[in-house]
Amino acid sequence: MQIGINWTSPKKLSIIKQLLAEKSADFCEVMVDNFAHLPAKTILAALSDTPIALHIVSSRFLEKSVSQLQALATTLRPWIKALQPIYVSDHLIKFCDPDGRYLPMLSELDYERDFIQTAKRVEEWQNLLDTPLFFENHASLTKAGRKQSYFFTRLLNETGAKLLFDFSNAYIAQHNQVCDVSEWETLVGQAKHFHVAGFHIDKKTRLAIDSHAQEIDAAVLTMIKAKSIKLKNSTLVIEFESDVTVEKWANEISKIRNLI
Amino acid sequence: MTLPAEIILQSIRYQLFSFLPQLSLRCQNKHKLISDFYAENSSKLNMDWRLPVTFLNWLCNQKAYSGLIDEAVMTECLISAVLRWSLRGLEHCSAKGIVLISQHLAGKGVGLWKSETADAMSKLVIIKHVTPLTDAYAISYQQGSWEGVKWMALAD
Repeated sequence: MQIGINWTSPKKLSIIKQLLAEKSADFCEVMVDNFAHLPAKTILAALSDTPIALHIVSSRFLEKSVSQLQALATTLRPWIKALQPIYVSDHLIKFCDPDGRYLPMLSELDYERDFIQTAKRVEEWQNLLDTPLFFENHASLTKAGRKQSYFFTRLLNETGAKLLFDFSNAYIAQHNQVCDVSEWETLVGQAKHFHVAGFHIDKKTRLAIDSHAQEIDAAVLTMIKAKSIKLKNSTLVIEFESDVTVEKWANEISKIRNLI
Repeated sequence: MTLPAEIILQSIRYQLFSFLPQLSLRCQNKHKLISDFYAENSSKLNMDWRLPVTFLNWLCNQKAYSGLIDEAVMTECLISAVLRWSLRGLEHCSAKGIVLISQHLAGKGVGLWKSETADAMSKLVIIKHVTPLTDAYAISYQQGSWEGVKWMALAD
């Protein structure tokens, strides 16, 4: 198993470099949004010979016009070619309401109504970027997420897209009584790339919320352990966004390595 | 299938106060402040990078919160907005920087230059200007130069 760490901000570069130099992590997943204005050679130079994966967060590829997507692809396609990533991932979520206003929180698709237009747009976006895309499962908060795994199954079958399975997101959906983790079983069996991160439980609503700030929950570690054979030939990115130190991150990596 | 209101308020609070340290220190009841803001603006609220300016404009019209506002907080709101802009990098890959002015701040604007290296953060700059008092922004596509930029109104 190859363990990755996510690089989301320039101020995290020294931590990233240290974890890679110490061989604690094997590769770096670059959050494209925060670095796409830099030449690819700058990214390569910063990470030396480290294998790279690319994680797109806010392409809004389901909401942009075709001409806007073409313009974005004009920037990203040569970037992807130059960096030769292990994978390129994106998200199937709504950022804006129908009037184009950004929502207070990211919203899940309507998995029953949105399939045809989503599948069409996934194919267009893959073609524009000239690469298959890996899509991350959403950390469902509401019943809107009940059909998520079924939606993914159809989408992957019809578009050639792949699943980037986030263990903690699946656990969050289960904790929030939206979708049982077992519903992902078949898709996880086919997946090659994985994510995991911490979450917190909201005191008032008791909802689990993805945060990337806490240690990985024991229940999620148990999920990972149950998939340890599967993970041997896979990648797993351990995500942290804020307030992370080399020691804290290395400790989480060690926990995972000891499980596999 | 809507989210609990409490979760929405927490999200707005987090997004606003993450970049408003001075206002955060001054405000004794952030939950009430955000609740009041959301109650008046929920039907037309746009949570894009301009949110702190929308919030500032609302705050400046609230007598109950007048003690919270001064030039430092106004400046902080503009800084927050340009930082939020920089975090939406895929909306403007080829832009080098942004400058933002407010109807509440005379002669002063806040600019941000994107980093040019992988280990440097964006650079914030305070800019003197003589343009009319309005909410407006301009994008520069030339590193280090505001020359020739075109001002655009901030409103939707």
